[in-house]
Amino acid sequence: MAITDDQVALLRTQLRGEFAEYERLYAEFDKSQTDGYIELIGATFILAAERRFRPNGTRPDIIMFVAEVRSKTRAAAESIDPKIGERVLLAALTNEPIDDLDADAVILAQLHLLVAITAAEGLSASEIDALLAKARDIVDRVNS
Amino acid sequence: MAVLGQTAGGDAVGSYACAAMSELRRKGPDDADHPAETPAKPERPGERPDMEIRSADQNPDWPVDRRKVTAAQRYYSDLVKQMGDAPPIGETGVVYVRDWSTGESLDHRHRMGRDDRTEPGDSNVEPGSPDAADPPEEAPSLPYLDASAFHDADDGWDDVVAPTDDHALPDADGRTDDDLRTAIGVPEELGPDSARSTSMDISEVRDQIAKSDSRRPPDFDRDNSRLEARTVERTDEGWYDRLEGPEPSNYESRFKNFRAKYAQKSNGIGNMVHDSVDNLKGLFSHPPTHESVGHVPPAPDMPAPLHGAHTAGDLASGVVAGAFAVSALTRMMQDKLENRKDRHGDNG
Repeated sequence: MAITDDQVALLRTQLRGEFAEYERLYAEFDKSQTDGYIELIGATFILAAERRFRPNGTRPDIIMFVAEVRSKTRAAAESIDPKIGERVLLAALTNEPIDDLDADAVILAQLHLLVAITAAEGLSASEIDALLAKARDIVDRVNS
Repeated sequence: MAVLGQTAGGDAVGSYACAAMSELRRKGPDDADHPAETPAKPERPGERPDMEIRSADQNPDWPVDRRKVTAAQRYYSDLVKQMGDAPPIGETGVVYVRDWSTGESLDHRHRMGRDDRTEPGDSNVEPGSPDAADPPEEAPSLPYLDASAFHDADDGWDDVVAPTDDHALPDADGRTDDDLRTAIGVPEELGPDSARSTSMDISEVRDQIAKSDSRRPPDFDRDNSRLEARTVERTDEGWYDRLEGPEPSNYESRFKNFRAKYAQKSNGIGNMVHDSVDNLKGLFSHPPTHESVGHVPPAPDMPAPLHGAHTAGDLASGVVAGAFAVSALTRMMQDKLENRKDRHGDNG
């Protein structure tokens, strides 16, 4: 199923830090679209990781970034398992297998790290829109 | 005050790193001669730990960490030679940490450079073993780290754990760490913990030798008593390989990798994602930075750093530098010796 405007709009609010708007949109969000929403998170996560860590990124950079994100708040530390966070970032960049990881933990780590990257990179609204548009295209192409 | 650091190894290098980190935290990054007035001390037991240590051994899939250990050891030994001012080898480095990944409190007590593991309380000992020291009635007074931050009434000294001692055993090819230490040129005085390389393939050891012979370590900044960690990582590509993977434009295969994983998700993940919103807010609490590993101010819900203190991000990025901060370490160890004398007399 193709990514919908609603899914894009919902993730956009999270990446912009517009959480009141997120709550409003989520209340109206068709929960049957959750699968596509998660896929959109995943594709956007790959693009954001590329932006953050290419072309000079190293494994220590990934380790440090995850540590940095986890150090921001207690909630972040509790939400992101460092090993899973590192490995999903590595998977986003190098396609390393993540077969042994818990799916829910992967998704939650991706969401947190995605938001952390966009916040750390200081992406503008237009840059976030461009990121989402490209991610939407990836999901749609793979799913078509 | 929350300090988070990741060391390349949990042993000797980790001790160096932690000791130097605590020194840096106490004195601040740019004002090393004017220490903060008081060491960091969480308000209550169980509060967020001051330091997170995660050793390479806990994530064997990251061999670069092990190379970092080796690199750190080589730098360290080189610097000691250059300065002619070795830290008190044989003195016990004490590091108190909590491992966030497991929730365990760790009591790292390491002899700097030597680890005879025979002296209860001063060596790494298995909890409950005959060699284990009786838990002290009060947390020991430490120069820069307060043990009470990491040992509360519920999970305190009973949770003391020690790293495995398997590095003394030969690997599948009959090589011991001593063999590998000799191969990579780690000085004898740095002790067995300095070459926990049993999982390092011998070809990697040869690689290490080749790289270390052909590349100069970054210059040691004697004035500031610290090295620039990023110099190590970013300008000397020989030490850390850049990430290799598919062509950057080939996103589809990576997305398919994730999509296959999503098929295993639980029915409740949608709610979990939604419930994460409050957690995400904290990630916007900091001004954006364009540095890959940069200065990260403390979050609003965290206590402000002490005067001149590093933030968590600084220390995470500076841990390698911390490992090499020889003179800072030396000062700390001297202070520690003085501290022990004060508490225990000259025999302490």
